[in-house]
Amino acid sequence: MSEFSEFSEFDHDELNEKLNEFLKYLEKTGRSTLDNKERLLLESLHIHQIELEMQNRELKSSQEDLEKSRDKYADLFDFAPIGYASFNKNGVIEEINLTACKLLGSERSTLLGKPFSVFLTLSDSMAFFKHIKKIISSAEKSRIKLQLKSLAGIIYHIQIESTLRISDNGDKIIQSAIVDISDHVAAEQALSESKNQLHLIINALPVLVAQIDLHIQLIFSNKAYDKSFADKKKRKTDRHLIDRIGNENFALLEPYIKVALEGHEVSCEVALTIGSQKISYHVNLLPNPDAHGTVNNFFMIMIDISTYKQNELASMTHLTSLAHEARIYLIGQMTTEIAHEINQPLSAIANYSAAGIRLQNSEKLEVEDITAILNDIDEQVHRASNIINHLKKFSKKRDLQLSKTNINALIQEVLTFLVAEKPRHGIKIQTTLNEPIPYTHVDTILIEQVLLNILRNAVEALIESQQKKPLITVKTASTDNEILILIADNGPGLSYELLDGIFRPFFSTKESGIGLGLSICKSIIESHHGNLWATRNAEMGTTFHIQLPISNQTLQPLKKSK
Amino acid sequence: MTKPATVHIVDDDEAMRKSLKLLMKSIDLHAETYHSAEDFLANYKATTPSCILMDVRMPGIQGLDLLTHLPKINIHAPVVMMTGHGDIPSAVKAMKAGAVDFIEKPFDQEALANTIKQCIHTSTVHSKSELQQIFSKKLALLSRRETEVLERLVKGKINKVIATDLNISVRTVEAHRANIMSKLDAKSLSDLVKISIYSQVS
Repeated sequence: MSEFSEFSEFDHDELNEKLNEFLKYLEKTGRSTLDNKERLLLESLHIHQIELEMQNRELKSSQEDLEKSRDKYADLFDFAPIGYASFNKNGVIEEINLTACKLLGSERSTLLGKPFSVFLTLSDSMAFFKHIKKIISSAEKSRIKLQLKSLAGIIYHIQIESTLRISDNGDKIIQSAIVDISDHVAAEQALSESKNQLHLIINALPVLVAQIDLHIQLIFSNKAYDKSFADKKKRKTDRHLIDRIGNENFALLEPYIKVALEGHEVSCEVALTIGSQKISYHVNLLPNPDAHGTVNNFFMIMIDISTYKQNELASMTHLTSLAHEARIYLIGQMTTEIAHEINQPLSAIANYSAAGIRLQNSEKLEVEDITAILNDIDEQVHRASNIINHLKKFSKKRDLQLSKTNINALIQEVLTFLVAEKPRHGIKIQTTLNEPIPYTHVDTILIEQVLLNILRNAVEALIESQQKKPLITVKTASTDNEILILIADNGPGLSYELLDGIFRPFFSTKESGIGLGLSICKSIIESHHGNLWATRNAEMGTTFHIQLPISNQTLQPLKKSK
Repeated sequence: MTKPATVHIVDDDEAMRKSLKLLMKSIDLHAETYHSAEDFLANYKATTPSCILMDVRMPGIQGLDLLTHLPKINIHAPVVMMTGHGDIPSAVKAMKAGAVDFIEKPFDQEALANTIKQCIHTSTVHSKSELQQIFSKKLALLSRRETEVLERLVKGKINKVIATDLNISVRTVEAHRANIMSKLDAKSLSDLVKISIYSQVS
């Protein structure tokens, strides 16, 4: 066949041509003729030979394909992102890909035939052997996490997932995928570390923290919480909130818990009973929705505000006593007006009685006249005693007392106090009181004090200004949640500097003023969760704005002293 | 029978108007009442004999403004001003503006009745020049210090302020004040004001 190898490159027709040439050559050289039988045999042999040649060529090409494919899979095996290795039943490396080689820090040639355990700690070696044994005995897939020290001295965390393969000669071979999970382990460690830190911090906090699920069971509670609300039965599970804080306290929190479980953050101030003590807490309920936004639990964060409450009480007591001083001062400033107010009914009474006596003496008096005179006197006595009672109430030192109040009525009452003042200086007072005005909870004496103070300031400003048509306007307005009182004068007005300054303590534009009036007024309004400020009018004068919340005592209880 | 004299009462306080009217009735005087200076100007009808009793404090046109306005509209009825207790500056202003007299609230009804009667029957009242003579004589009796104290009293200053002003003790002021009252034969501070005002009228 070798002598035909030079023909291997020719196709069927060319080979036939060459064969004919060869036969002619034979005729010329050796024998003159070949018999037909020989010729046929020769031909068929040649055809057969040609077919074999062709088959050979096909085989060769498919061998090349196979080699290419094998190289490709070898590459895939070697350069896979996951390490692959196979071990014999003693854990000796029989095959290994380059990724695994890299992990172990050496050449394939070095690694093949080495027991895998040399890269492991003693305890991990034991675990690895157990892993192999298990796979051999069960023939099932298995997984193990190990720590590996490469020849380069680097520590890796790996996960090995292995299956059993029976080789052609019947050996049991362990085929393993080796994954570097160092990053994952590091991340897990960091997470657990930060979890521990968080735990440490939460436990060290003076704030009470608890996580509560839909069934009002405690998932977690910090030390401060456990200290304040200890579980007497010391159960780890089935820890219902009621068991911790008691029915009475739970009843106070229940409405807010419902809101939190509906997914809304909510906060409240409650006084809880712990033992025999009442402790005020600011409670914040924080819904904790999962990735889909479903709220399955919430955090309850509680801050003990008893000290704050006590301080607040002390500062309120301070404010009430300061306000009282200011009221006394105010009354002192108003003695002339007050005297006039009382003098009016007293003079009338004196007139009535003197006239009565004279008429009686001259026997001109009828019985009906006496009744009429006495009624008139009685009316004036009431008028005088009303003023005195009001004054008494106004000058008394007292704790804060909130009462449901109609601000418009209060304003009217205060304006009567100014009656004596305004005619003397021709000051006109115009009121535009928005009716109906919502009720608000205020300390009437304190708000009256604020109104009186501002009104008197307006009167004084107008007297000084020599304004030809002095006018004070008092307006009220309300929105859904607040009441606004506007007191405006058409006096000279305040400079922008003074607009803020007048609310500072010991600030006064008056020679005789002690400069506490408006600063106390501001404190009073702020203690009612309101605001007090002044603006310049577009044309002339000043407007004082008093903003008071329409109290909703359940959500925003006002500061009360006892 | 003589025609009853009329008192025109101008006061914004209803109880005051009503009680004063009754008081006038008890001393046989007829009274007309007005709730404001504007009301008075609109409804006043001149009658004789008469006098005007007017409150110094009123909304709208003030008592003092009305007082100075009256001669301009030819109303010459004598005016008695009602002032607040201790409101000396107003009283002084009223007297200077031409009021015949002033009376402090709450008033002594006897004194009021006398004042009103004197006002109406001007013949029984000393003429202004006579009064000036009488009072000037009395004032001459005062020491220099007493005069100084009086000057301040009629400005409406209180004892404490006068003491500071003159650099003397409050007690000394009180002593001076008592002396002044007795020398001038005055019963009250308003008497002192009247004496002092009349003596200045030239």
